[in-house]
Amino acid sequence: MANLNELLIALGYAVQASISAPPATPAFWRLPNLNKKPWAQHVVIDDDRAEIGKSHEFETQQYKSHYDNGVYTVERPASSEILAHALGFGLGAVVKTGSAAPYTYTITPINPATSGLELPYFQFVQQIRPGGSAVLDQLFNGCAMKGWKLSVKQGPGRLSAVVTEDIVHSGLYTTPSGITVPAPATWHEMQSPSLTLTIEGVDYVGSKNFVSLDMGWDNNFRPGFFPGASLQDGFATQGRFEIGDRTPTFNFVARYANGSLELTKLLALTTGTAVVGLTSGANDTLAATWQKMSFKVAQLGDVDGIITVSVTGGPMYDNTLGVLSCVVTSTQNLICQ
Amino acid sequence: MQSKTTVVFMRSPEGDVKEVTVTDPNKDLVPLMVAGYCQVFVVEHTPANPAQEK
Repeated sequence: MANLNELLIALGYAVQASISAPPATPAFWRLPNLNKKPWAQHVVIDDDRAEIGKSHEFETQQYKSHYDNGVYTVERPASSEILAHALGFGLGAVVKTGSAAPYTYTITPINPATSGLELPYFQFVQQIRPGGSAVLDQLFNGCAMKGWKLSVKQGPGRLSAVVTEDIVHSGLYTTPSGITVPAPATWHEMQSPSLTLTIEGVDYVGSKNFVSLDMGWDNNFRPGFFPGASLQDGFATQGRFEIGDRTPTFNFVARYANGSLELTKLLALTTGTAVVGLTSGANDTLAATWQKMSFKVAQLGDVDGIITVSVTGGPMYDNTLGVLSCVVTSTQNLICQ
Repeated sequence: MQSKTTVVFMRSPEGDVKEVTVTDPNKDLVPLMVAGYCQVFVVEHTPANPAQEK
């Protein structure tokens, strides 16, 4: 018998050599996860139930099909570390500058014409009582970032700014993992009071009108099963995660007052940048720039009795600067490297 | 936000490597990354035996 609280999770932040090969230098964080579930493996088994000619409708044979571990959610208070991880593995193009802390990670979506369709892969470990009497000890190879989300809301505390990663797994694993989960990491967490937010020239924090922000990205991976992909325990695994039509999202709610321009901008099809900033001290920061933001929907409502406007943004592509660029500074080295 | 200047090497889609001085990543790096440049790490060649190298 084991207690869920005994679960140890290690999140890899080094780039694998390939979907099946480990990184040159593996690197992990011990991951406290707000999502209180282990990543359950799921095998899919075929059978002959639907076939006729057996003289009955029941199955008589089973066949190994494939691993489908679904989507696992990593949820953390926003920090420079988890932001660099989510954005780096979720967008794919990363340039690291700096030879000493703080390191700067400049991150943009990959250009499929030059970088291909695959994002960098990383590893994931889950353990309960690793060692001679392990309840669970698995190393997942070939994890990829299906999508990520940054949610910021008014209010105090660590959960005022939260990063969610939706990750998927090829099906390739090693057990026992052979990994010693490192000591707890220092996460440089960023709470919503540090937010800076300027959308189409309007400073929403300075005007004290900010209510909430959700921005994210979905890579809409294509199914990765193909002839020649590796087997694990006789079951097919996904040999690649290729991006599909990527979907950026940017929604916010602000107080609506005399002089608020959201409805005017919606009607005028105005576009401009949206710049989101978070900080934790001087060395751990996020500056995310949506290069050309339009408003798709602007709807009046209320939050706690205060009139608000809920805006669904339409992130657009700028020919020179793309859709989204993120600059993360972190005291943590080698994220997504 | 980074204010100090650093140098990185970026490889173009055609394979050329250029040295980029980065003061503002949004201005100095993002247009290149959008155009398909990727970072490369250049290792300087130091001869083990300078005399032999000559």
